[in-house]
Amino acid sequence: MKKLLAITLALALGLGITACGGKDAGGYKTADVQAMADAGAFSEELEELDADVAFALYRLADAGLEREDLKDCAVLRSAGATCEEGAVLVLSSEKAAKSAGDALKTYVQGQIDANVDYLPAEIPKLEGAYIDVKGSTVLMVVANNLDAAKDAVK
Amino acid sequence: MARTRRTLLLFVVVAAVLALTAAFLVYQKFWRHGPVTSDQPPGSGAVQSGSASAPLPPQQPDVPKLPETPPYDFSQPVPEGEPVDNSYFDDAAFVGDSRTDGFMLYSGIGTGDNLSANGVSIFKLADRKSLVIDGEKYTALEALSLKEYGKVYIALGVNELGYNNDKGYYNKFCAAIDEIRRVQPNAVIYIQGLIPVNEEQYLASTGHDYLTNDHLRVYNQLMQQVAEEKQVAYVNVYEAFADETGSLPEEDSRDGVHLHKESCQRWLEYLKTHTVEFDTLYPDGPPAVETPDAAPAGPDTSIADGSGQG
Repeated sequence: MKKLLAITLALALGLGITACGGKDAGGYKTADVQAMADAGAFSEELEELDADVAFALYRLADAGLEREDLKDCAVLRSAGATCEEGAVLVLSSEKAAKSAGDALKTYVQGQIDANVDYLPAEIPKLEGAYIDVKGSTVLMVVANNLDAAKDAVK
Repeated sequence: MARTRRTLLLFVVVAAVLALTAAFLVYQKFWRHGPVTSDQPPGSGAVQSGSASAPLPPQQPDVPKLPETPPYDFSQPVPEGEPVDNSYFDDAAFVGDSRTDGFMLYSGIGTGDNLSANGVSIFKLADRKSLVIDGEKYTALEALSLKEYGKVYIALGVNELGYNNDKGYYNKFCAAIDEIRRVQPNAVIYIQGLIPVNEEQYLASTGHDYLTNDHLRVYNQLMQQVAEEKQVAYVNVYEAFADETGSLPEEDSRDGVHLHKESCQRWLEYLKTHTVEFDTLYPDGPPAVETPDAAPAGPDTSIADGSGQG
């Protein structure tokens, strides 16, 4: 009986751990943003943005999301010298992540429009922006070295 | 004998009643309202405390004459004061270029409307539709008219430093202030002096040398003249950043123009300690809105730097 109870508890514990980790299982992690920076993806040191600013910057409300849908995030962004940027957004659901991914595509297009005359040398980086939705997470990177960024998050 | 006593007693009673009645009437007339307090308006009919014998004639309010507040000196920058909290900016709009965009993102202000656009200049402010609001494109001046603001901060000049047209800069700035006042007549308009650049960093990062602090200081003088001419507030943000040589310290920026997060936070702290109330600026009500035809000619301070920037 004790043995059966121990097995049951172990199974329950195992399932619990899997469930906790399942949120990010197969998804991107916020630590990936720093990993991209450490891998030399960016040509300059970028500034951190918090979740409230990120939610407004990426106009996630326009995509139908509530602030509560953005569970976590890590964002590094140029102060203005370049258009380089890396972000991982952790959303409340896969559906929300898809909406956030669409918002990021719109954001990048807005960056292209805003910088075509101002920072024309940055346009190729913006045009090569990598946006990927995985599970309930989204990755966006506008990098000087996109391959380094992708390798860092494999 | 008993009859005489009763008559005397009756007389005493009647006299007492009459005396009480008279005393009540006097009380009703002169004492009922009590002493004057500072909250009561002058001439309200109340009498001074202690005047029991007779009413005093109406008096002029004995208010000590305070020295008249001198009118706000628009030729000087807004002086330092007690810091406001971030909610001060709840009804503020920020018009500017990429520096202002960085300020809105990195300073931690967390409120206010960001009406900035990369590369925008005073020469393009009225024409360039850089802002997208609810799917529609607007110029900064058009966007300002979409709602009522209590404060409008304007910070423009870095993208104009390459121009050889100081008189045009002055006139365009005056016209922009007129337009802002036309759409926001009840807002405090703040012109922000330009934060210096680091010429060496800018040259190293772009290969260009047309951003100079000498020209930037000319623009700051012009903007201060605009503030005086148009009776708006000027905040001398320059002083918060300039080192002893008048340059932006290297640690504040990577490219010599755009500010680090910590520097944006310092910018915000400066704005929070340099505010002025609308009533202080305009105690007699909002200033008149000038029509575009009334724009001043402005000082001819053109310099020949031989540069140009689109």
